[in-house]
Amino acid sequence: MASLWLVLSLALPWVGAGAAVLMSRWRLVRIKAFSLVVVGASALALLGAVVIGHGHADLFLRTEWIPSYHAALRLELDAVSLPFALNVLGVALVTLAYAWGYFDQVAQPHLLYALLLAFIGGMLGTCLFSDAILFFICWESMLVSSSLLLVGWGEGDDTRRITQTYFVYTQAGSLLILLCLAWLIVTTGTSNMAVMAQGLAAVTPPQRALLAIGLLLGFGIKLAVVPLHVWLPDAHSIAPMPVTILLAAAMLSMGAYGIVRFPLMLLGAETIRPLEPVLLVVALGTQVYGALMCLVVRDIKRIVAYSSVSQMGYVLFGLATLSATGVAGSIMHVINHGVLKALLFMSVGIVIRATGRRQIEQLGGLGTALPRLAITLLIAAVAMAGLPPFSAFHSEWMILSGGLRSDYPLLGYLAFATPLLTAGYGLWLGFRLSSGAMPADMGVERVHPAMTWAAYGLIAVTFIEDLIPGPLYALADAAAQAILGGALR
Amino acid sequence: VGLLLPGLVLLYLLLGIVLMALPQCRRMASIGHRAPSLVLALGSLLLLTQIGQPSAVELRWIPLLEPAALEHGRTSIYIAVIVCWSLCWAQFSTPQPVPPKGDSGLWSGWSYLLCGLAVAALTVNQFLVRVALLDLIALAIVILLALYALPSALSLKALQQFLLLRLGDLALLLMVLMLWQFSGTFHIDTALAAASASASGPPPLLLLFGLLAVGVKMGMPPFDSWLRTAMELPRGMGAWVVSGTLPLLGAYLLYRLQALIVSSYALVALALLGILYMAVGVEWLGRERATSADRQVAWLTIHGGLGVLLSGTGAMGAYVLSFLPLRMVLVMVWRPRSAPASVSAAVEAGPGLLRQFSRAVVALEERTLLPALHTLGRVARTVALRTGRLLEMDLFSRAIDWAAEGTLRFGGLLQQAHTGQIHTYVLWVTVVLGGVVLSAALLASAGGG
Repeated sequence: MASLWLVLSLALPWVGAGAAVLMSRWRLVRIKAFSLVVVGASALALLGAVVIGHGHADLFLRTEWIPSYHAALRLELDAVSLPFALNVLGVALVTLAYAWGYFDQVAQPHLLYALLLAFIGGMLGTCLFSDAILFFICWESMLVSSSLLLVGWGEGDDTRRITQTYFVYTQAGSLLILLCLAWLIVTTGTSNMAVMAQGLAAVTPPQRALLAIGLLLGFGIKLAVVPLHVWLPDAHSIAPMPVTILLAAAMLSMGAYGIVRFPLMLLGAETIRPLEPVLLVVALGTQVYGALMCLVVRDIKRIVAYSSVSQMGYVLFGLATLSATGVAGSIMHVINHGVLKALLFMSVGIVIRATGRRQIEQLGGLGTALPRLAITLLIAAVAMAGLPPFSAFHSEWMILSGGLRSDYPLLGYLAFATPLLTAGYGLWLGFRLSSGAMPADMGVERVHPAMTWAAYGLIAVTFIEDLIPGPLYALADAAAQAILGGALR
Repeated sequence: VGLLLPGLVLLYLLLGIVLMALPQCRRMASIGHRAPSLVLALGSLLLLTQIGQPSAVELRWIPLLEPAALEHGRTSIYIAVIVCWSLCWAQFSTPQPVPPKGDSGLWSGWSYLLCGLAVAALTVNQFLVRVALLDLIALAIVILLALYALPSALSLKALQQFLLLRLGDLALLLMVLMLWQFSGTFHIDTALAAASASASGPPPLLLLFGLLAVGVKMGMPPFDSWLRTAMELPRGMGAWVVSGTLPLLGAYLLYRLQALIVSSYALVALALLGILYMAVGVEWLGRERATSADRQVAWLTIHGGLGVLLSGTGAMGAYVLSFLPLRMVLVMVWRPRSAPASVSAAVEAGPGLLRQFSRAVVALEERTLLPALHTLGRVARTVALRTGRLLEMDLFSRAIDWAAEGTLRFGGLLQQAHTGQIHTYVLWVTVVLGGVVLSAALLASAGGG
């Protein structure tokens, strides 16, 4: 029964995407409603699978597909895929609600929404398929659909070049991943990710290390780890805001999912351990670099884009500590980052829509003109800095604690500097936009209520997550135990 | 009966939210804002009968850790009662706090909220919850400063104060996590007992970060810029923030760390530091005596801080309990109704006993105070001020400027390379990888066939 819900959850966005292609004569509002209903139903189906399956691994469809590699259409919702899948669908749902107000006039809306649904379906499939080949197909479908969204509906003069860069960079990562997966499939004789580990005995330690490096590089590009992040700020700044939100709040975390699923779980923590100091330094560098760039760039959308780089540094840092606390913190941070980054982008999107400006020097005084928006912005900034009563407090202390428990506690101490920088750039952005006098030549237009209410909804979510964090800890704890096989300490 | 403490905290928080959220409450007469503070302060006296009683309510906020409860410890309850009364004094002090934007309910609500958080932070028995509560209090204070003390330069100054307080928060979090690692528990008493009972003593870094947190929260030089800004708040509001919130909680934190300090070599360092701060205080008093009462409040606060540090040698508990109410009296009750232009005028207008006491102190200072102490104080004060300025402005700004410049250059190089060489390389790598993958797939499928 749970299997049916799981299939429904994955199938709905894809079927919806196919159906949306045929809706060329539909009015925009109907296409929006259709997409929202489809993703809402998919989220409900996923929750149904969780409730009915009681968190047990659930295999579905053992139909042979490529018999020589035991490839089958196999879906699995385990402790690791669940938080990522929930994040994808949660972010998708709130993004489509925001898009209701954002896309008031748009070319080819049926194709736009079809691609959005395919993008969401691709991310969901990446989390749910437990077959390496199908995992990769969904991984690629994410890339293709997001690239088409950028080139077709990108905002700015340079969309083609930036999309090409985005495609080339992420495709380079994908090919690296494909190479490693192909190696694994050929060596182990199966593409079933659950069985693959048993066939790894044939892989020598140096080969494992090589595989780990290849996979880390491949997934690192998607995670936008410095210096593999170059595609991100450009792509995020040209994408229409709902697409940016999906890219930042949901798609980046797929890189973390890949690292968890393959190098950490499949190859094992012991394979990664020699790389731990390098990973910790890279993660720390990513945190600091992203935060400092936030202080120097002037385009508010780029500021938030760079903060994604910094936050992904947090996620990688927690994973690289190889401690249960750090890994659980990272899983939790994926969800928190999803909520908070969506909130921050939504707030910035409202500012851009209301004022028609993106350069920070040309903005200010929103506290007087749009007080609720200013408060929303400040809340997003404070929450991102890991302060209670917002949810990032929980993931932050766990990641930092993981750093202290790693084999390199000095790097753990250094990581405590990043929250200070995060507070610095977040509050600076919030105060700079909210305070002072409004520029005389700046007009403020009314924005669609759907955009503001979507942001308020996320504030409620992050507040409730902080006050009642039990489910979040349960998810993260279960995932950490599945990844490292240890208790949370 | 055991519900008294959580009930009191809840009432303060609820009152704060209601006063801020409901426009009718914000607009009601000021007695409506003041009266509950008196009722609650009177209610808080009942807490004294609860000392040593077990907690009635346990809250498992973070499921994997020990549950948290508000405990009826002797010292914490005593100070909590003082906090409740200090809010009452602040509410009833004249002149009333300047109604921010004609909306006095907002300030009242905010102060009730702060009071609830402070009482909870004093009595909670779990370190992580205390960290969260102290974070919230720091945030609330920064918002107050941003709204009412720094309206003209909201962005930069408020951000500086926030970063300074965040530094203290992070130092405390670091100390707590180290203590957790050391003792395996977040329960405050157990963790501190385990650390102090350890044969090797607590790790030096743990003490260092703990004392850094204490220093920031108490607003001791060179971390006193936020405290000095708080002095600029409307009088009642400023006095309440200075007396009943973070500095007090910092002092209490130091009190809790006493067991670790006494059992370590940090005691000597602290005693020396305390003497320096005392000298700064004395020098400050001499310099600022004829100026505004607000400056004097700053001096008293810092004096309190260094007094606590000094008394870390043994009489800490008694001192913590004594200096706080005294400061309350000096700052809030004794102040004459017509605000004096200077402290000297305030002294002359004060009650007879205090006037004589004050004269005696002045006479002692002017005639018999050791000149060496003055010199030492001047030097220490100059160093503290310069360090503070460096921390507050130069160091932060310069570090960020340098780092930002470096990052911008690095980012520029990356961007430049990415549009030039790296871009080409990545393109080539993609093509080559594509070829390799394709060939491998073909070979594999040929092998399979």
